[in-house]
Amino acid sequence: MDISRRSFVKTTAGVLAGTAVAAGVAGAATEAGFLPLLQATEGMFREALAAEAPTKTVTPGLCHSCHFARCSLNYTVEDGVLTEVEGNPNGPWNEGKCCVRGQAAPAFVYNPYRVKTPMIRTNPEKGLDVDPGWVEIGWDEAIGMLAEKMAALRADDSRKLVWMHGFPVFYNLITGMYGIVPATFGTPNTGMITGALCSVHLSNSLVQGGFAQYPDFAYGKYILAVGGTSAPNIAPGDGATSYIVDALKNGTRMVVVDPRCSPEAELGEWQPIRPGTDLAYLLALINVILHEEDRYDAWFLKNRTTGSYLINEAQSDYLRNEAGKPLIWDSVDAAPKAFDDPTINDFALEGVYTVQGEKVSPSFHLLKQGTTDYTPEWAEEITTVPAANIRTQARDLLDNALIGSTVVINGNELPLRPACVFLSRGMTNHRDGHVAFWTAMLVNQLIGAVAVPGGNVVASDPGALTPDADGVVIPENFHTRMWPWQFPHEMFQAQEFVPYGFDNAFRVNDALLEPERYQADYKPEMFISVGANYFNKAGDPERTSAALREYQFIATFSYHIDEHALFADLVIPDSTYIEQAAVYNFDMYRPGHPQLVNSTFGHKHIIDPVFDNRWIDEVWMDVAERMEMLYGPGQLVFLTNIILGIRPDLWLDLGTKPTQEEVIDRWLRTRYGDEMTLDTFAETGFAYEEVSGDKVFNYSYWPGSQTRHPLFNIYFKRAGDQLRAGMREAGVEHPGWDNELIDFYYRGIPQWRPTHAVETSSEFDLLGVLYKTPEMIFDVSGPSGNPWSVEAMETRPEFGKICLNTQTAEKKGLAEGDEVYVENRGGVRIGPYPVHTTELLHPDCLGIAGGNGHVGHGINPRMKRSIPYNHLLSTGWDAVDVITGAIDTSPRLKVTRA
Amino acid sequence: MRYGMVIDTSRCVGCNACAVACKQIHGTAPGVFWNHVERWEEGSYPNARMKYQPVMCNHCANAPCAEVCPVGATVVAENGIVTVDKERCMGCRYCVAACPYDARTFLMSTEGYYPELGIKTGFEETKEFLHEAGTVEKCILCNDRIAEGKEPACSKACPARARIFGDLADPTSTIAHLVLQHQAHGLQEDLGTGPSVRYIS
Repeated sequence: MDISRRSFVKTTAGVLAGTAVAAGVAGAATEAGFLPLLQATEGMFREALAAEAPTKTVTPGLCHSCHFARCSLNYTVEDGVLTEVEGNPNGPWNEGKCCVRGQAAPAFVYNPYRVKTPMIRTNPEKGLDVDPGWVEIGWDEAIGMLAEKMAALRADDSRKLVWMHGFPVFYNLITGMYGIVPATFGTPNTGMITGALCSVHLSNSLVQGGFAQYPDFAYGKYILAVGGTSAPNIAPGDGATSYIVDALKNGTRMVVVDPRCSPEAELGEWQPIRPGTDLAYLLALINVILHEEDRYDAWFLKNRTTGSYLINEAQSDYLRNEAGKPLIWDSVDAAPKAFDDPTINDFALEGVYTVQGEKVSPSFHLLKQGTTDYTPEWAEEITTVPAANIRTQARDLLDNALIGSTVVINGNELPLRPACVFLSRGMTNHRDGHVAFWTAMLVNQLIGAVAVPGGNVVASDPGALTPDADGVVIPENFHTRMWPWQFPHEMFQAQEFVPYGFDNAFRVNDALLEPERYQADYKPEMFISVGANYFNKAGDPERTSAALREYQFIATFSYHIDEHALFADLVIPDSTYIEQAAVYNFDMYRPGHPQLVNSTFGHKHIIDPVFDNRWIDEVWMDVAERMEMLYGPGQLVFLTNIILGIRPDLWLDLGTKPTQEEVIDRWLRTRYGDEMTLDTFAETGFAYEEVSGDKVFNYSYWPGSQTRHPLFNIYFKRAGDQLRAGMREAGVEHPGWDNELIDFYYRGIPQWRPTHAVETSSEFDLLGVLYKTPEMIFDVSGPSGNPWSVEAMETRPEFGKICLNTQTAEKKGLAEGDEVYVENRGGVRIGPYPVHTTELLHPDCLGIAGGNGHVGHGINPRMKRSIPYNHLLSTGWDAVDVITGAIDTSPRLKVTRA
Repeated sequence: MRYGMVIDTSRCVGCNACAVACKQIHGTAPGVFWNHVERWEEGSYPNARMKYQPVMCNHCANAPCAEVCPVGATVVAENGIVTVDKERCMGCRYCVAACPYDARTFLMSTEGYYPELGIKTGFEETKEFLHEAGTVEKCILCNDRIAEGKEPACSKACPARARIFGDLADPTSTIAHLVLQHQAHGLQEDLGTGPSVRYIS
């Protein structure tokens, strides 16, 4: 019989669907959920294999086993089956390497717990422990159902659709990060599910206009890494791991300020710190630099920052002349001048001056005055970092920064500052996380280490440091969008209440349950998630469950049955990146090969879909076509052209349904020129551009005093002012914060106040710390259900356990292996889990490795081996970062013996 | 010729890429890792550190496993790689007991990862011919890949470049240089096994 794998699987699925309905799947579905259907598919692999002629191919393609896709792998396919994966030696980033996640790809693809075909529930009751009574349906029925419901909703009120996406589908241009489907549909209620757990972009984008900051290891000699993760901790194959190891072995010092001794701390130096107290630590660094050492990069502060800008008495704006230009104080002429006045002799950084009838000072002066009390001894009480260590680390930063030095690269003389502070998520996801992030960027400004060799840098970008009319870097980045106040609110979740909020997706749940607090005049009725799961990307599982029950219809694109699927009315099978055409652009600094910019990785499909799954973007085009949202101006093809920036002569025809490969082809040719067709691209699996060594550093595009980094935080101040004015005008109250709190944090100069991290609590005496492991980061490629990944995790003594510092455990009378429950202050309890005692954790912590545990009826049992740390997180207004609304990932916890 | 590997534990970050690369290439059974990373803590807070040591078959020059094999299934090849002929192996497990490195696994069954579903995946189907229930198996230093001019999967994958594969007998090779330069040591060398896996720490 001549039958291909694909047709066999489709035939099988059709037969199964009929069988299931006839047999009454609701009755048949037991604790095993949809497994009876799976068991009936036994033999599908074997028979399909036998039917195909022997073939063997090796195809280069992208790896999307983590949130980035910058490793190129070679995929060996024999007789239609993916049999080997290894790094592509030509891969510009990974150069032949492949991490543990990429290696696990075959087990990711061939996972019988995957959703194989569209399914609907037969049990209207929804819950994590409720059997949905799945019934398989055909694609035509699934697409028809989705299109019909979406069309009706769009005709009624398009705002009633909530759309959430996440990292796992980012290799799809239409369905992934660009948000084209919800934009076409017309809903503002969309977001990325992971954003609230990873708010690591805002302050950096404000200061140097780029997406993500890195320490420059090429020239760097001293890196103060605050908050955890760099490459060795997650061990990507992209070159960063070996490059950092090389740097550390060659004498670069890396001091990791983190509650947990990570692999890079093991390679470098570990400075333990109490979780959530990084702001106090950083303020104390500034105190040492300005008040004890009195050493800083005055040239940089005067010429490259707003340190000399006079701030008005209200500290709400720069003091401006009649033309609106910010003023500085010329210390030689003893007169105020516009910041760009060519007659300026010298910029005053300190002093109090009377200008325009106001007593004003340069912003540097305000920063110095504002950090007077934040001594190392003060910080030691809060952070547990010994005052002597803080002093040493501040001095090491100063000594290694080589203030005043330069380096010639490619004939271009640039400032050389081989020391910086580097930030990670572990410091930003706290109550005052982004004030801390801003403070860290202040430290970098004080030593002149921003956008220069050896310092804190972002991807090479000619436009990153473009100045505005005030001479200050324009924060052009989607992370730096300050939500303008609108009333009625633009988004259902009223994002206006967190002006710099980024992807506060979880807040929709709040608004659904308490709409009056958010002044909503409508209520969402439909929820669609693609690669998104609140339960391991947010917190408050019971509240999330209650909110999901509020929707009239939920559709989820799922790789496997997970918590979201258990609340879904319609489950659509996800497609792995290996089974479909995929593309991913990555414009970032590549350690060890910094000339690399604008990298794109991808492939045509490596193997046919293993089950009855389909390419994701093509599913959406079918849905859009069925609901008359595909063709013509303003519809999906049109917005694909617009949002992807397709070159006008390459525009997809507005009256024709494109294939996913055609969309990728047009996008590639737009980015890299007409020669880079998908066919050409697929031969290598990547495309990239290079810049000269000096252009890696954004300083080189805007040298000297052509642009300035903001020392005074005019952004937070403006945001706070806008928020209070908006609420006053609309006559509404903030759903979670009072004005005093807003006033305290939304200001130009950072200041510290106690958070729950330093509360004295005899009951909830531990602070949670979730740390990444190479096998499990982000749950992007289903590692918690991947048997190889789980087995690899099991070689770690702490996997699936509650980690406690040895002495902490002893004080509690706990020993290795004792079973405990973990409970947060909201009454959420997880466990029991065994204790693992360790010397590698701060005594105030409760550590969990990997996380990403799942719960629920009928899920892959392996997914329950990991611990669902996120269940312990609160999304309450008292438990989020005051600037970005991001979730505090270090809640107060207690353990009790089981 | 004597193929071997130098493992620089001062570069290792314990990420398990080597372990899973091996599993993927060879399609080993559930719970079986032909190479894995051992890890332990040293020191006390706040001066503690995690230590990593990847371990695998040491491809000994004087392989005790080969010496005890009653049927000649385990042999040391001319290129130094110790292999097990699964057609000859009768599963007596003398070699398992003799190996001082605990590098051998007696394969009870070739059951796949999803016995609860009663199926094998397409990947498992294609790799099952590599394994035989009732026999002993272990790292083969990817001799099939070496024959094709490739390096072993574990060293190829290592993101930290902690593993260096090569010919210990070739004095011009990188691996030979590293052994000399760092006085790279073998595990339990006092046993006289002559391991071909050397460590830099």
